[in-house]
Amino acid sequence: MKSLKKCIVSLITVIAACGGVFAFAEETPPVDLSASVSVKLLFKMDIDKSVISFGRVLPGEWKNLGEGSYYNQVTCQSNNGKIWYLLISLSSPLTGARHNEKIPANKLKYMPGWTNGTGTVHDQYTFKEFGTEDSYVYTSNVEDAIANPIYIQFQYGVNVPDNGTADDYSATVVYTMMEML
Amino acid sequence: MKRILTYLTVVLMTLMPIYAYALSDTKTAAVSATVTPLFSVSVSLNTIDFGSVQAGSWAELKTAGGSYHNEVVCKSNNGQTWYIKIKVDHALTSGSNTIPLANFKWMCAYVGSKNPPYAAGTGTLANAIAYISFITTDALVYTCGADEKSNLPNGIGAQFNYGLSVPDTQPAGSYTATVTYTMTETL
Repeated sequence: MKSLKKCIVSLITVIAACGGVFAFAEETPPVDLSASVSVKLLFKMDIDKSVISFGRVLPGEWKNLGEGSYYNQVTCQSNNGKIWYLLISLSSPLTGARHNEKIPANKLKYMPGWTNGTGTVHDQYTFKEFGTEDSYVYTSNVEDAIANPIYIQFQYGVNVPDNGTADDYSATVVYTMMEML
Repeated sequence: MKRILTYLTVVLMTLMPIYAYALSDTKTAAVSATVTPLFSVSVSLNTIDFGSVQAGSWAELKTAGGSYHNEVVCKSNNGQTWYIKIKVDHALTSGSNTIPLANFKWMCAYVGSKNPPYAAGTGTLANAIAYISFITTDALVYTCGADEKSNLPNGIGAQFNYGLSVPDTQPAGSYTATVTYTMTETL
């Protein structure tokens, strides 16, 4: 009798336990949730060296900065998915601080070199004279506008006229990264 | 009213692309270069040799085509006024004998640019074109013109003649001295 009672209790216990397993979870109807994110527009340019110093140069001398490698590197980034351009210009001719003499703009030159981009480097590895107007350096492809950094390297050269007046000369090079309308 | 609204809509839609902007970014780099000063004087012929001169006679040196003896070329890109000066270290001397200092003379007859179009100098000769007795301190020859302060690449040339009056009682001998030409930015 006692063992039968034990058996029944065990059975009830087992049934109660299994009842929990076989009891079904309640379900609610699915609820849709919309998720969204705004990716910030990225369109920027940096230069690793913003001082182009030729140091002392003799009248009649040609001096090259970055020969055999490069002098400075421009980094352009865009995630706008559109073609962009890199341009370069000189704000004014090299002008002497004391005597206000000018070294003509065409005596200062730049040479665009290596890039990791898929676009076109205009006159790559060729020294180009600066002008006061913007000159195209690089035309990107769309693949260059998916946020990856695109590097363009530069060398610079100056050809001091053989009648150049002794002085400290300065000017400003302007780099512009832009999309077109 | 409907027409006005339609026209307005068309105008606005036409103008919108004009006011859409292209993305751009600009950076600058400062360029500098120092053109070094060049300041030099050179002489075309560094001997003033009268050769054999009889006592009591006057000898003159104009060996370059009969018009001058030597040329002093001054180059500068410093943009400052410069001067040519001349002196002798002592009277022409042979042993214990000297020819009086005042008997040895110089003349700067012409100054001109060595750059095309080779114009005459625009500066000032310190003396009239005549023989001047040498002295043992710097004597001013020429003050450059304003447009000669920087005169590269070829400089400005000053042409010199020399004269010597040998006293008629002068003992025989080989007489020597040293002439110094100085280009300077100080008077």
